[in-house]
Amino acid sequence: MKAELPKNEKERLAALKQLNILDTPLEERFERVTRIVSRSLNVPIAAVSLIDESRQWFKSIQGLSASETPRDIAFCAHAILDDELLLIPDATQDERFADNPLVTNEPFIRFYAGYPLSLSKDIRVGTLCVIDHVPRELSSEDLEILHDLAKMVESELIAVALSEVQIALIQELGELERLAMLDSLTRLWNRLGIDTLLHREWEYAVRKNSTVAIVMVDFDNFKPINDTYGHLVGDEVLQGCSRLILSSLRSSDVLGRWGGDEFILILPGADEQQAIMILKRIQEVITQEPMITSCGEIKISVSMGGVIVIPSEQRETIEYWIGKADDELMNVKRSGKGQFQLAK
Amino acid sequence: MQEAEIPSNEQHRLAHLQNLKILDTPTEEVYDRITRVLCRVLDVPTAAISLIDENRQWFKSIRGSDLTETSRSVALCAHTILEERTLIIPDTHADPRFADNPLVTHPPHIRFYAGHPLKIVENIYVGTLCVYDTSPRELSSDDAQFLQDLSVTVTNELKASMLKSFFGH
Repeated sequence: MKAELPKNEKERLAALKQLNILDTPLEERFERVTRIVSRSLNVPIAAVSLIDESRQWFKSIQGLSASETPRDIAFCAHAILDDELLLIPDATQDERFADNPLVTNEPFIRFYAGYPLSLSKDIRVGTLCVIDHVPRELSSEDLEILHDLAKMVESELIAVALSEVQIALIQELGELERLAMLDSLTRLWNRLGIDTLLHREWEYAVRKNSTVAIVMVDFDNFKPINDTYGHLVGDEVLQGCSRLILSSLRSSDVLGRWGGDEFILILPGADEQQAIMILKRIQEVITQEPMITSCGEIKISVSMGGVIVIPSEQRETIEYWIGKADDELMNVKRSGKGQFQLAK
Repeated sequence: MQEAEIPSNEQHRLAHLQNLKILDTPTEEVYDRITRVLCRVLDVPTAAISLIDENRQWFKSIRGSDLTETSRSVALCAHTILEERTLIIPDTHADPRFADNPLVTHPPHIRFYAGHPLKIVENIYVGTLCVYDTSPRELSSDDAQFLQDLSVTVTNELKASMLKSFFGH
């Protein structure tokens, strides 16, 4: 029997896509978990399964060489419908699964247990699951470790903005210095903070011989919003937009408020293709997500201009490149807004 | 008994530890889960997340023991934070540094110890993720790898909670 689609399927898929994990290479941090699960529960097959639109894709799997299966036969597609463990002691005795091709043919699943992996309330992107070829039960100890490890996989999936350079900076600052570098409205880095960070990312990129993209971000027609609805609503828009931009970034990217309605984005190590993907995502989310304020929904668009630099090969100062990024932004603004442009 | 040296960057190290704002906070499930899984997978009675403060080691999570802290001078973990590698002591009785340590000669009677430093940034080790047992044993390379991996999970959680309180998101 095919699993229903979750009620929030669109939202769920968007959250899954945002993890940027589908079709990525094997990673030891997930391999380790499936190895441990299979060892401690003494089962032949263990997997981290992610439920994509029409397939289940295994971020890690032990005991089976498949990397994906169609969604309509996936046990895990059932498991993500609920917050609890899905436990099938014997699939041949369960009408939902008895005629499933994964049961009647290879890999001949008899026993299945899967914990849903939640990113947030009701957003379940996949499972940590175990499979056996014989019917069985799980002890309360087995259940506990499966649950604990599922929670660890969740933490790995949502590992928040762990830019090493940011963490080093925050760690080194005293309380007062920290406060001086934060923008109180958006709770992003302010100009002083972002300037400090940019210099550090720059030095880091020189050492690593890697790239840095600097992007200036400006909201179109922001002044009329302030004039029409007042500054408080303008502030709400800035707060909302900065949250939306943050949600489009990779964990190493940094967003700061440069001043007024102008923001600055640092994308360490980004090549042209990655930078374009991120900027496209920002543009999409800003134009598509409704911006709800106390005066109702407000439409807004964003213009961006940036440069991608290899600091180890440049003589010019950081300030020079910020200026170049700003020039690109001005070009975009002049030629029709709502777009972005990147110079190399 | 040999007391651990003080790291050369001790002041800097302590400032980092303070910035994490973790000392003397209540137990939290994310950390307890890690020590629970560690006990189970390595099949040891005790696992702990130990933070090395100026004069004490304080446990953010400890499984299989009632200790909440010990003095730093007797802490095995105070040795572990001196360099970036797992410290494994198969049998404390056979190690002159620890044979007469009160944690060895008295309860909890540590015979086997393994700990991996928690690295917050380069060269800064605020504590360890460690296990111990009351009888001597060895640590397989798989288990050593797992201990090391989970110590990264612990540091990630520490950093994440620090960032969360910093940005108030």
